[in-house]
Formats: sequence, C-alpha cells, structure tokens
Amino acid sequence: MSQQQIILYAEWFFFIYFFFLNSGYIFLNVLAFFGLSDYLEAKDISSLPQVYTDLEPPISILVPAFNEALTIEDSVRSLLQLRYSEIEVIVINDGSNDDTLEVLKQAFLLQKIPEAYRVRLETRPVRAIYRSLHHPNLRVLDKENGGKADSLNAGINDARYPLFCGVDADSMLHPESLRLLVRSFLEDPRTVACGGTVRLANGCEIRGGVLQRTGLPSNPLALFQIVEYLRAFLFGRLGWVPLNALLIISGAFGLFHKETVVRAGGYRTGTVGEDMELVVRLHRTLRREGRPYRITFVPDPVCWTDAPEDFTTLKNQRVRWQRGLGESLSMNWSLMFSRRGGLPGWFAFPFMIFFEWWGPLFEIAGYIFMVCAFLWGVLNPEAMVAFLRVAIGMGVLLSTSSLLLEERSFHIYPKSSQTLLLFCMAIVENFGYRQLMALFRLYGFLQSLFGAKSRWGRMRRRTLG
Amino acid sequence: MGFVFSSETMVSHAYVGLAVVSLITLAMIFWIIFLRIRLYLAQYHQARFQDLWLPVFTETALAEGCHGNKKDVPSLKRRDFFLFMNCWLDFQTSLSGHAMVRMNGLARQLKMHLHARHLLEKGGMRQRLVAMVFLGVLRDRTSWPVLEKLLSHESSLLSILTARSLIKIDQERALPLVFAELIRREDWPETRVAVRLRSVLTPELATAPLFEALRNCTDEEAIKLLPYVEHMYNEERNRILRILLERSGSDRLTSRILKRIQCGQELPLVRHYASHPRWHVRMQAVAALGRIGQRQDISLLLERLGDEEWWVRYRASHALLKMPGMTRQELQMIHDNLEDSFARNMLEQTLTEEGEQG
Repeated sequence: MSQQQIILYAEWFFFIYFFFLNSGYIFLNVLAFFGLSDYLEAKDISSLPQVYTDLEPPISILVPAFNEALTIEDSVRSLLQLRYSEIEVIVINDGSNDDTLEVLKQAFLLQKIPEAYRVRLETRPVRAIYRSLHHPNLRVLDKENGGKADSLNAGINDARYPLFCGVDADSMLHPESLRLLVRSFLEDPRTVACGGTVRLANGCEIRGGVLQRTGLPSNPLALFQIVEYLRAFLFGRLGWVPLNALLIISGAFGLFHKETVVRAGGYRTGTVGEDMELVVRLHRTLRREGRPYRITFVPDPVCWTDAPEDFTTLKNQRVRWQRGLGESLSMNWSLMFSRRGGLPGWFAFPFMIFFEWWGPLFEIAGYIFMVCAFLWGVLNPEAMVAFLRVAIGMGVLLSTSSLLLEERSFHIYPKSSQTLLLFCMAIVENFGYRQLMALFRLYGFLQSLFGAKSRWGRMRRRTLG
Repeated sequence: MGFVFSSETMVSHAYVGLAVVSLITLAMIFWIIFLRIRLYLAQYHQARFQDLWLPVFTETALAEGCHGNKKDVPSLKRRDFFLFMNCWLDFQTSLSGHAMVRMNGLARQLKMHLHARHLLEKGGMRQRLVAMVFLGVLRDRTSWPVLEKLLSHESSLLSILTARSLIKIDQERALPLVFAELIRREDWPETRVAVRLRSVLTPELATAPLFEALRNCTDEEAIKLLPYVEHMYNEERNRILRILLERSGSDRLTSRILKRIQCGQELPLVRHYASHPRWHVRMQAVAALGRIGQRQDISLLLERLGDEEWWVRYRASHALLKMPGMTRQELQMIHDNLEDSFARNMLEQTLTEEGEQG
C-alpha cells in the first residue's frame, strides 16, 4: 500500500469518525430537546398549586466515607434536612485513617447497637454498627477498608427500605432532590434506577450545607467544567432517556431499586467506575432476563459538587473517569449486539465504546495526523483550516445548545452576564482545554487497557469543604 | 493533491457545513436572548400583579364585609385570569374557615367561576388543570356535568384531579363514581388517590359502597380498594377481610389483607400464612400474630426468627415482645437459649431498641 493510499484511508477514517460522532451528538441533542419539553410540562403540571401530594416510598441514603473528617458532619446534617417523608441515612466509614468516625460519634451521639442483618452481598467485615441518639434514622457502619463499591454493598445489606440512594460524602443535595427523583418510581413501576443532574458548586454561596446563591467561579478551569457539565448532563444523559439506553448514573447521586440491584450482584468491587458499571450490568441482566424495566434521569439540578481547580486534581479525575468508563464497558461486553440487547446493546454501548472510551485515542491521533500531513505537505492549509473551523463550530454549537436547554429549563445562572461568560468559555475551550482533556482521557484510556490499582479518588475541596 | 481534505469539493462542503453550523448557533443565541427577555417580562408582570392583588386577598380573608361590591376590587384583565387563579389557589392553601368562604366570594364576584369553566373546556392542558382545581376549591356545583365527563378522561392526572374536585364539591355523590373509576383504571397512582380519598372518607360514607365493591371484585381490583377499608365500620371491615382472605388467590392481596387483620377470629388462617413461600406474606403474617396472637404462637414466631429474610425476623422479634404476658426477662431467657445466631442477633437488637424506647 502506497503512502498516498494510507493517507487517503486515514483521511476517510477521520472524516467518517467525525461525521458519526457529531451526528450522534446532534441526535442526542434533538432527543434531549423534546425529552426536556415533556419533562418540563409534566413537572410544570405536578408543581401546580395543590396538585402535588407527597406519597413517596421510604428511602435509604447510603453515604460511603473514607477520610472525610472535614466534611462528613456537614454532609450528614444536610442529608438529615432533606425534605422527604421517610428516610434513613446510613454512613459507611470505610476504614478511614482520620477522625471520620470520631467526628460522627461526637456530632450525632452515636451508640453501638447489636444490629442483625443478613449479608446478601459479600463485603469486607463490618466492625460495628452505631445508631444516633439524636437522630433515630441515622446509622453508621464502621467497616474495614474495601473501597467505595464495597462500602455501598455493606450499606445495601443494612438498608431497610425498598429504594436506596448512593450519595458522595462530599456532595450537597438540593432539599427537594429525593422527591424529584422518586417521582420516576411513582409514575412508572418499571423504574429500577434514576439518576440526578450534578452541577458544580464552584462560585456558589453555600452555608450550613445549603445552597444560598448560584454564581460562577473566577477560575477558568472550573468555568470550562461548568460548560462541560451542562453538555454532559443536559443532553449527554437526557438524550439517552427516551431510548431507555442511559448507561451512566453519577455515583454522586442516584436512586436505585434495592432488590433489583441485589439480584444483579450489587456494586462490583475493584473498579473505579462502580456507578457506571452497575448501570451497564443492570441493563445487561434485566435484558437477558427479559424483564421490563426503565432506567431514567432527572434533569433538575439536584446535586452540587466541587470541580477541581488545579491541573493535577483535574487530571486525576479525568483519568479515573476514563478508566471507570473503560472498565464498565469491558466488564459487560456481552451486552453489545446481544440478541436481547435492544437499544442499549445495539446503539448506546457501541456509541460509548467508539466515541467515549476510544474517543480520545482517535481525537489525539487525528490531531497528530493533521499536523504530520500538513508538515509533509500532503494537506493544504486551506483544507486544514476549513476542517478545524467546522470542528470548532460543532463544539460551539453543542455547547450553545446546552446553554439553550439550560435557559429553557432551570435558569441556574440568573444574570445575563453569566450566560454570556459561559458562551465565551464554550468558544475558548476549543483552543487548548479540549485538547488537554483529550490527553488526560487518553492516559485514562491506556490505564483502562493495561490496568492500575483502583483507590478512592481524592481532591482539594474549596466550596463544599 | 486528491485527498479527502484536500479536494476542492470537500473544502467547499466544509465551508457550507460551517455556515450551517454558524447559522444554527446564531439562531440559538437569539433564542436564548428571547427567552431571557421573556422571563424578565413575565417576572416583572407577575410581581406587579402580586403587588396589586395580594393586599386585596389579605384584606378579603381577614376583614369580613370588605369588598362587598365590585367597586372595591381592582379590575382583572383577561390575560390575568390564569395568573389570578394560581395566586388565589396559593393563597387559599394557607386559609381555613370563613376566610376561605370570603375568598370564594371574591372569586365569584369577579366571575372567575365562569372564566374557569371556559378554560376547563377550551384551555390548554395546564390551564384546564388549574381551572379544575380552582372550581373544586370554589365548590362550584354548576361545573358538575363537565367534571363528571372528565372523570373518565384518558389523562390520569386530569382524571385524578377531576375526582378530587368532584369530592370537594359533593362527597356523597362523588364517592361511588370515584370507586368505580378506581377499579376500572390501571393508570391511577394508588398512593396519590389513597391520600386524597382518605382525607374525606368516613365510616358512614364508605362502609356500604366499599363492602359491595369488595365482595364483587376480582383480586386485583380488591388490592386497589383495600387501603380504604380502615374507614369502614369495624364489624363490616372484619367480615369483608375474612371473606377476601378465604378466597384470595393472589399473594399480593393476601399480604395486604394480613397487614390489616385485627380480629382474633382469623388466627388459624394467619398461622397458616406464617410459613408461606413468599417472604412478604410471612412478614405480614408474623406482624399480624403480634397483634392477635396467643402464647401458643411463641414457637411459631421463634421459627420465623430464623427466617432468611431480615424483615420477617425483625417483625417476628417484635411480635414476640407483644405476646400476652411476655416479659423482658422471659425474652432474655429465650434469647440465651437460641442456637441460631441470626435469630439471637435479631432478638438482641429488638431488646436494645425496646430498652432505648423504655
């Protein structure tokens, strides 16, 4: 094969890849647009005066905590303040090396209880169970270190209610968050899991675990991530819902039907993307069993978390996410193109593999190819500029559509200047930030291929800490 | 150079694509600006409306005799009817007694019942729903025929709200219609309907129609009606539960009946269900034994204390506590003699919980 032929094939490959990637995103955008309209109409109606009545099933909130001594008290207090008829909060101290357990003991007057429960999911040994004398619905499981998935499994074993909600100890929930998520379970009994939208707390004013005022941060890295989160949640997730092919529910906040999760084997330990892995496995097992089910998502901003504001933490986070994505997909290969795979198996799974998991590889390879081809003189500058402009234009288009979806729905950022700033970031991110993220993700992709030990992700807290 | 990116056609196509993308982006930006302006205007209008009307509402609710004639009330524009209904309903939720009646008077004075009826028939979905709730709170009997028709509407939300409005207008007349619809429909969320009905049901209203409906319905239909048996007179309630338990062919129904058993006459049947293959039936059976059981049931409960399901063990241990003449000491003795570690742990937990409560 001649050099020219190789270049020709490579050009076609990148062109086709670019075409399908953006077509996929536009398709998801259109679905999200209509999905959001339906959702807002339904929400609008249920929020009419005297229409909504609170008739929710009880929920167990599971809070895995590892070395969270600084934030755990505020987090638990904020959870105990959630507006919901019946909840129990189970904090799982995963063998923390710091004072997490001591802080909890003092703050909530914990008393050791001889609680009996059947171990339905294997976990590292539970050393003791405590109950708060102040809050009868708060229990703390003290267990040996086994990772986040292991902690969540221990929490599921101890949970008494039919629905459980996994929450990151360092996230802050909106007071109405559980009510918003549980509606999916009330309105459709086939619902087995429901995810919530995570927004970034950087730049927001938070007091006593409650969001007082939304705002934008001054840190450009955090600003870029706000645009990214808008894209990821407003069409990246919502678009999959009408197809019942949502493969990701953020570990920061998701509501699950306990029995279904137990039947599927609970969270898988030894992975960094236990949240996504569980959702993919739920699709796989429920489809294999031929059980009707629904995995859905609520676009309301229900959970707030801190975004990294320095390169090292951001890099670690993205590497971890990419690894998690790779592990989740590679552990559930049998869903892809399976007889009963439906849209998750025939569309969402391959999409995730080619465009999300392997995406950074193709993206970086594309950049390298363009530069090399240009340097070798086989690509004229006009063509390169045209192609780059289209790529950037598509990026801006997708970000703008997220801003539009946001404007049509939740108006989290009330000032026009904030929307303008986000629009500017949507343009600027194409010059450096996007390429840097692709590099981080490529590193994560390689790690997911060649393996690396999973551990709790750490980051420097600013707003919530 | 004849490569993909180098060919002139592709480059020109790329520019056409870029133009399209730019145009769409531009359109979206204008849309965002339009939405933002519309939002500001709506907020401004709503604030002005509330500034004008909330003092009127407050005055009406507090001061009897006020706004007795139309001159005292600001005029209401057609475009504000919907906003008025929303604000009025919001305000009504914080009121009771005569204040509500006076607020109804204000709405009637403004002829809002006529406008609401017009919206109910001609408005969009959101407007119809608000109008329906509004007419219910207003207890507008003249809307009954329209509402009765809407009870069987295919939209579950619309039909539920219709049921609620009908009940508000005339409970006695509405209940048989609502029960029939409750049995017929598959799409009514049980809990939502239950709360609504429970707030109005009395034994006098509920006993006869419920007894008849339960005696003649299928297992699935009975499940829908069971939440309301609490509102029947005791004798009829126990009788119908016995009939249903004897004929039940559904585990779900059995479980729900057991949950409501209060009468010792059903003890033999309840004991039988304590070893049912489905755990939720066993759980409700042992819980029922806690309410109506006798000392001879202790052995049965001890057996369930070693059940594979946490909730069955939990209920069994609490039922043991409630056995006639059961003391803490006796329970402690039972605990010490247990060989099954799960049963022992569960009893220990229950003893601790009881100790804390005591």
